[in-house]
Amino acid sequence: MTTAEVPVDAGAEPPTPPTGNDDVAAAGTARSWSWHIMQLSSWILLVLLPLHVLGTWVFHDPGHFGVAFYVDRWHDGAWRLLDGLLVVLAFVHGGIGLNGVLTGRVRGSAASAAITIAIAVVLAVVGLLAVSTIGGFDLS
Amino acid sequence: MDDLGTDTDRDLVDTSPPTPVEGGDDVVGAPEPEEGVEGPSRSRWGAISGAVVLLYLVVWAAGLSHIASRATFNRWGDAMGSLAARLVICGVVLATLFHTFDGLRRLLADAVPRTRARDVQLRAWVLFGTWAVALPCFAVIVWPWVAETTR
Repeated sequence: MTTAEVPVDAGAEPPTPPTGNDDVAAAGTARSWSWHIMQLSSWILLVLLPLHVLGTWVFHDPGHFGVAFYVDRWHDGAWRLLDGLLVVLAFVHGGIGLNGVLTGRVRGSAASAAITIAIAVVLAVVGLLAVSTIGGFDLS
Repeated sequence: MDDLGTDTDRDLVDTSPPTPVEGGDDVVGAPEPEEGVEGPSRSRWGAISGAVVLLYLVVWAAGLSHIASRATFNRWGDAMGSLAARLVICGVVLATLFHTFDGLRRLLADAVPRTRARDVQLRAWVLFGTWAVALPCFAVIVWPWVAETTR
């Protein structure tokens, strides 16, 4: 997984290491799929994340946090949708970003693969549990 | 908290070219960019704040998956009223705001490349926006504990 550009025309030479620079795209390279996911998720999370954090911890007293808070909130289906979308997008965005940072610091493909798998498994398990809870929680 | 401002201030002074990491948000240990090719500058604190936000979301999502056991979840909720928990929440709010404003700066640099010439000013706006929103939020988060304690 990489957020950087990869050359479209590999030619006879080995691929140029991506540098994360953006002007390169104009010189005959294409963005990787993960770069597009990061961009798309960034624009959506730009709204969702502050909305979540401010709505959960600032506009409501943290001392009154509990099941009742979510029962009230999830009576509105839009909040369920937003919370579920936040988990999915934030985990995808964060997973790709964290993977890029950590694998950039290790040598060897085995270590990089181990990091990628560990991040993917942890985020997938926690994310699936949270999304199923958000979607299936009984408000009664 | 002061380090956040201090390091970013140093970034403002440092005019050396950014060193992006392959696939990452960070600049640490990355190869130098090509001569004359300059993307949106990245900051170490952008990656650190992102990691803090991701950690918070993982903990929040893991806790949320236990909401069916209502007594346990409410007990955790009660703990969020303590001063220590409120200070941790302040840290999460700060990381969220910084990552959001810094991310907006980078998205703008991607969408409108000529804004890269104003990167220094944009970084200053990131810091200003972060603290301008964060400080009132800190007051709102901590004040109920202060009012309760001094009553």
